[in-house]
Amino acid sequence: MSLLAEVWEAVRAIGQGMAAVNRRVGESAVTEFYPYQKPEIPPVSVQFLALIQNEDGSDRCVSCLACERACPSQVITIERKRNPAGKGFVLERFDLDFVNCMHCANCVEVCPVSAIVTVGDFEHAVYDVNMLKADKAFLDEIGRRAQVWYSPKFGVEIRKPDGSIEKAPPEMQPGGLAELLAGEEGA
Amino acid sequence: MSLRFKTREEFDEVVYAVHPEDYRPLLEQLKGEGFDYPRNLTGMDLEYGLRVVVHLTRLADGAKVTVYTDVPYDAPELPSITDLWPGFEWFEREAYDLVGVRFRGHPDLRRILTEDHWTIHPLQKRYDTGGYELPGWQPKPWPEVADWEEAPEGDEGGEA
Amino acid sequence: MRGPTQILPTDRADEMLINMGPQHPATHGVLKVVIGLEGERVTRAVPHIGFLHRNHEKIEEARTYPQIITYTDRMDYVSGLQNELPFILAVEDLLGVEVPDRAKYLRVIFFELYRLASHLVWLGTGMLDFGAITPFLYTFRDRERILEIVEKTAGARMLPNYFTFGGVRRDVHPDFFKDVADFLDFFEKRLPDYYALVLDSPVFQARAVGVGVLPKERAIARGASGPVLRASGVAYDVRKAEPYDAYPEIEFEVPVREEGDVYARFWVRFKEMEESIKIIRQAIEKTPKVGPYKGKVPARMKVKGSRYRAVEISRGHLGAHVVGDGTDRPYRIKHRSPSFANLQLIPDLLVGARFADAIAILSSLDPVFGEVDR
Repeated sequence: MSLLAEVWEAVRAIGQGMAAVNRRVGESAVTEFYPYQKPEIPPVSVQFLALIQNEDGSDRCVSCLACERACPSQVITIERKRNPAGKGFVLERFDLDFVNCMHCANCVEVCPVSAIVTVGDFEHAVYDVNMLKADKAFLDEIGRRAQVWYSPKFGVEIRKPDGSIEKAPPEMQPGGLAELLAGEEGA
Repeated sequence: MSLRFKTREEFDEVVYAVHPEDYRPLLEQLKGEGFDYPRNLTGMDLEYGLRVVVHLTRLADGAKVTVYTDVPYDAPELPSITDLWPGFEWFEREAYDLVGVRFRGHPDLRRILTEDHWTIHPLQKRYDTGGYELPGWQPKPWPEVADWEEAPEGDEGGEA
Repeated sequence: MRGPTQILPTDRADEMLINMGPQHPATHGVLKVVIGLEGERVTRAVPHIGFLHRNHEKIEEARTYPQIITYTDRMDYVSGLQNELPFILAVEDLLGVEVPDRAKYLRVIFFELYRLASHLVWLGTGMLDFGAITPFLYTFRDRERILEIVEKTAGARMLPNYFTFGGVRRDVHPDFFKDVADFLDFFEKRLPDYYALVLDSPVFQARAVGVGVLPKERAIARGASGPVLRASGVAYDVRKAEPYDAYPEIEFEVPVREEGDVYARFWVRFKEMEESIKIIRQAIEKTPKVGPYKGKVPARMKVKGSRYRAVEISRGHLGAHVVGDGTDRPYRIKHRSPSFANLQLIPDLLVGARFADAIAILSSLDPVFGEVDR
């Protein structure tokens, strides 16, 4: 190859690359200015786990131990005692060790009463690793703060301003497609 | 001398249970039949001995075979098949490392995944997940009828 | 200390031994290669792996079947979702579980989305090894859109734990099909840019053509799979050879190239991305709009028997050998990982190459150490 051809080849290579880069110059930036501008987290996203209480403040959890058994890294510890009045059990202790939690949401998957749920609440960085060992009070607090959460049993649920809990519209639900399609046909 | 093995159909593949002495002759025969692609080699601990399972396929028509054999704990040795399928070189090293099967004639039989100075083979059932020996673990007796042997008359065959 | 003491120090005056890795940025993780150099030429190459070993297989023996799916995710963390499938298929075979049609197509869509995501990571980091930084920024931006789509439905981005026995874990988000179709249109417009920056660039070709040639027979004998095998002229693709899920109903081609050099391996992966787009488009069209997304699975899983199943993940032939003894925990699980087999080619490919080309060859093999070391 002659020198001239080599120079031309180099110029062509650079020009070809620069053209591809220049096509993207006018595109909008994708950087999020995090503390001021928060990302939208879908409710099914396993950012954190929370315990949800009923509207009257009682526990949804019935201490069935399903989540404890389903957990692959065995971070859930439940202690329960027999309900003195009536049947069933009363929850005494619910510990969740987020240090070893893999965020697989197997516990949410098996919960028969949607007591443990996933929330899009992700700002839980702490200075001390021991603070990630959550107890029931901590998980309840996250549950009380949550506005929207997900569990397979009840789907996405919303807490309304007056404190009542209701199911989210089908646009937000996984599997809401069937409902939406049925609605279109009916309309 | 005929090879001592028994075949059965499982799903879409033919499974050969073979006597350890005929392990390599059988695989040479399969190599001659055109099984050219090494799919997988698994070593496992059966609590009475060690088992090596070899999965092969033929690229031309997609036929699949599985060959397995058992060796006792006190002499866990098998001839290497690395020269037939060089792709099994690391798989045999892994089976040696984690399960403890020794392959005669392997070009470079060293530990591959764990540290060189380790003495245990962690996938054996005598160890727990932490690598400590389980208290009271005892090997089971060798089965009376191995998978590659004909069951005696009036008796059900070996375990599945 | 780990590694062979028998080859150190060198007995040849004109040879220099150097350790590449395990913390070298171009080894894509924790690979250590002891390389003997004679000037610029590599005289020997001895790979050492195991720095990321967690012994998945032992941990999984102590877990129940549904719990194990979480662990399989963590092998090849770049294409997380794809790792779940061989294990799930093997257990489904042993249990005789029927998968509904809709779940089969959803699995294919997610599977191919992760193939795109994984190839984009490979392209970005692979080009970093060649000294090009721009593709890295572009590919990660495009990959982000895939992960966002996945997160909306599966609940996580890299390790979603979404497939399950008998189908998928939950139905898709109502926007899912629209999002995916939008992304495919967007990505199709992006692909020519990647061609211009990488594959068609004379600068790249000068470094890749004719480098690290792998002959066909050697590739088969060594058990190489995926793009590495197909770049050497073997049209072996598990999606065609032993079809699973909805792949038999979908038309696609298996890109094959005869040369077996670094350029061919890049070319095959580029064409695979185009095929993935085609596959996802067909799958979206054919997915039943409504219907069950999960088949019936026994509540207490008692698995008995032995089964080996394989799938074609981004890196090649990923297999799972499940042995159950009739309890709810497996007796033995063996994961056959494609990068593990592909890395055996290091001595074949590196010896005789120039040292600068060694980096290019390693990046064309595309190993992920989560699955090599397991």
